[in-house]
Amino acid sequence: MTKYLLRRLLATIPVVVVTSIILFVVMRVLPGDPIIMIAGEAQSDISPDLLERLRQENDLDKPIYVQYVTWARKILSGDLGRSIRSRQPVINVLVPRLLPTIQIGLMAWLTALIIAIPVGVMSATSPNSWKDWLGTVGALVGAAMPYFLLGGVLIYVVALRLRWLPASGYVSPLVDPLQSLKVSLMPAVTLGLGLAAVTTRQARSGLVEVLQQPYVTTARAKGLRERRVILGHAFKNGMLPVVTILGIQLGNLLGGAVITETIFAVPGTGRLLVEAIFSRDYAIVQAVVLLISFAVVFANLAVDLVYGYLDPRIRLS
Amino acid sequence: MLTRRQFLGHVLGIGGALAGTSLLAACGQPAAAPPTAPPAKPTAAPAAPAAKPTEAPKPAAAPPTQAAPAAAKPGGTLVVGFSIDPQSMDPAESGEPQARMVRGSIHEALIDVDEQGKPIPWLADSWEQTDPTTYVFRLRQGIKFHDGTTLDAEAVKLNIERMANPDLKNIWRSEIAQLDKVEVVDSSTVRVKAKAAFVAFIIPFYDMNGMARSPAAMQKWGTDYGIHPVGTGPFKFIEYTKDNQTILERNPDYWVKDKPNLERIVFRPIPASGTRLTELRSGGIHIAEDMPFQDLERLKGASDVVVSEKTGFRVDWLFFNTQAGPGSNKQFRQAWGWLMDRDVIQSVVYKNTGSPAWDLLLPGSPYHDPNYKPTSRNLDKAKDLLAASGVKLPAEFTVYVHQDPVRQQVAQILQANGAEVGVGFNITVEDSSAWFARHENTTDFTMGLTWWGYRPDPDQYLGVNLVTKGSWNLPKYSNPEMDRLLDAQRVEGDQASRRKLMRQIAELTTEDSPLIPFHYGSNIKGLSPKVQGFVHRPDGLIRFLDVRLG
Repeated sequence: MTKYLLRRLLATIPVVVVTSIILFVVMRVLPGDPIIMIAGEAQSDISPDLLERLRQENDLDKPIYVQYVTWARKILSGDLGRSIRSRQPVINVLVPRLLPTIQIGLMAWLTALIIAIPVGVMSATSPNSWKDWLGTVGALVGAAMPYFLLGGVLIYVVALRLRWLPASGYVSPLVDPLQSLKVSLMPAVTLGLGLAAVTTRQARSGLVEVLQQPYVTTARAKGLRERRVILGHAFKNGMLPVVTILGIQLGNLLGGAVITETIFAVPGTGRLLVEAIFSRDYAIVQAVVLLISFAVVFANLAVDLVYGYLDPRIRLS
Repeated sequence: MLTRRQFLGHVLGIGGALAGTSLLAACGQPAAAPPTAPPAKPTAAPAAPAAKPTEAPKPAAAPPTQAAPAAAKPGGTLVVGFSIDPQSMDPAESGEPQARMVRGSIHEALIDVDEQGKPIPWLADSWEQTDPTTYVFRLRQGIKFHDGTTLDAEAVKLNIERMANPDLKNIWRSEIAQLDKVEVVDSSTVRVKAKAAFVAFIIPFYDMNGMARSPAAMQKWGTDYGIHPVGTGPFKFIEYTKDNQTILERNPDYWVKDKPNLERIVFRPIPASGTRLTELRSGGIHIAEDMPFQDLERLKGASDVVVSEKTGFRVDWLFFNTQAGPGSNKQFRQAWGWLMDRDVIQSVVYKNTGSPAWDLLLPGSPYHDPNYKPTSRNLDKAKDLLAASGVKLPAEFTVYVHQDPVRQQVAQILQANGAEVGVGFNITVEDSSAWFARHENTTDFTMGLTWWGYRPDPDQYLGVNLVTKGSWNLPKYSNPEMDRLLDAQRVEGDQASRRKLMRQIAELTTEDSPLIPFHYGSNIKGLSPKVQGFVHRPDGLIRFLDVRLG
């Protein structure tokens, strides 16, 4: 097990390295450059010397592979560099943005589980009934609904018509837990419903498949109550695909955060990333994407570990 | 309760609003009204309008659009919804109006300007011009920075010299290119010298270039001054969390008695215009900037929002690459003046806000002539010019536009106009970074769309846009006669004669058509009916000194 973990951890290194190289190249191939963005329309108001100095300070005057090696060396020594635009250390910019994204992401995950598991079980246990049909249609709508539309409708109905929740912003749970919950609820539900839809489908099909297995028939034949058959015997087994999907969806969740954080004006990592891309703030983009790739790799690792627990037949070696 | 029809109306409303704005906004760029663009160099500056600061400023009259004002309470927290984060509160940094509004509440400038663009006293309570290139400013006595240090002539000199120092970043430097030197006469008198006579020389000191930052704070924070600003203004800086909020608090020692009214101002960046509007209507914010055009009509009857529109905010134009391709041909450029359908752009894209434009001089400027309309839509004329131009038709090229729905729509209308006479172009959307790089640094384009925001003196945009090597001369246009006219208006002290020169500049712009203005944009804000004392200035920047909450 330890060996397996170690091997998996080592395997994350090439993934992260390749991701960072691709990103490095893509960002620099894009037209535009961060120094021009700093100067904006006023390039000629800024002396060429100053522009050149800014370029040098950020290593932008060097060939791309030199830039990469310099950057990688700094990363290995724990230095994420400085934002090209604001001159602040990237770590200082990035750290305050993590909490909102993590908080809303976890709440979205929870929303998805709370909805998907009961609905999935309900659909699977009475296939082709009106309940199943309702679950299927609900999942279809949820999966097809873009974040910006769902978010907009929620804002309109919940914040403007009903006045139940604030429309946007963010409050840290360390400052005011109740207000934090209130203001994060809509973005979490927006993100979570899409995830719930996909998860419901997986829960349903996973469970339907398991319910056709001989051991379930045996359990029923022994005279176990249906409730016991489903929750005690079939459930854990049928949830394997759900675990996979929740792990894989972490990437989507972070991608969705880009949109929900913009709609709901949440100062999270997604919005930071978008703005950094538009201003070509390479240092920030690289740090955020590095973080995301680590998160996705670790989520997949976690999924595999949970697999082993749910199904001891799966050997982690 | 909503009736079904109302409900459908609302749903369609949000659907439209969201499809149009939120998605684009969600892609990271502020959507809707006055959009990205060259983060225009419109204005900023501090406090109240024409009130003379020596007397306690009179409360400004409530704009006529506002609901019947209840008696305003002193104090209270005003929340303002911005489309983007202010980023830095250092006046030398970026030009976005959001940042300038925050800076202008913390800092104050030597002078201010009235609606006609005429300078009026502010931190300097008087000044005189001792010779054609020398101005002597006398500072108001006893004004202190928020850190307790005194505003004196040394501080003013240091501030102006910093703005003029080419080794330090100041995106407003070209406006004080004529500055020669600053001298301290005594502790409250500063002498400012220009390199050459220029009638609008002191105007830039009403804005970022004339703002007083505490020398002690600049020394202490260095390049981090932008997030630790210390000025003399009505509000003190308290807190800044990027992309979340900026908080200012009343300066209890402010030099104008009993001002400001508000206890606090919170600035919140809310990038999606639909969300900003909902926050305004549900009471989460009191002022929303950049209202989406498509919502304006619907909001006119609403009781929970007051829509305020101010003309003379910006001018939008079509420009050509005059150095290469079809745009290097004068008749080809002139044809567009007769080809473009300004009325359709005005009604379809701008929803009848603002007005059609024919020259760069903004409405509200004493030099603007509303009767100057040298062209009108005339396809025959356009065809004749195109035939005379010798440009082979059908001409095919690509027009690159910002990721901004408003300019994309304008491009589509121009595309349809061009197609009528065999000038076809494709539209490619680029983000700001790529757009800037292409149009500022290369000639790899044929036509483009851009704009410039309000400045009190026309030289502040004519010079930048039309003079050879001007900093926003995207057409790469050069005509010695234009350069001569621009030089001439700079030294012409008589307003009537200067107006004649401005007219000649407008006519030469039409004749050469390096750029063709088509629309004067308005600044549009949404206000809660509680907001009082708000004066909508053509620069679109709110001065919070007189604002109150009812």
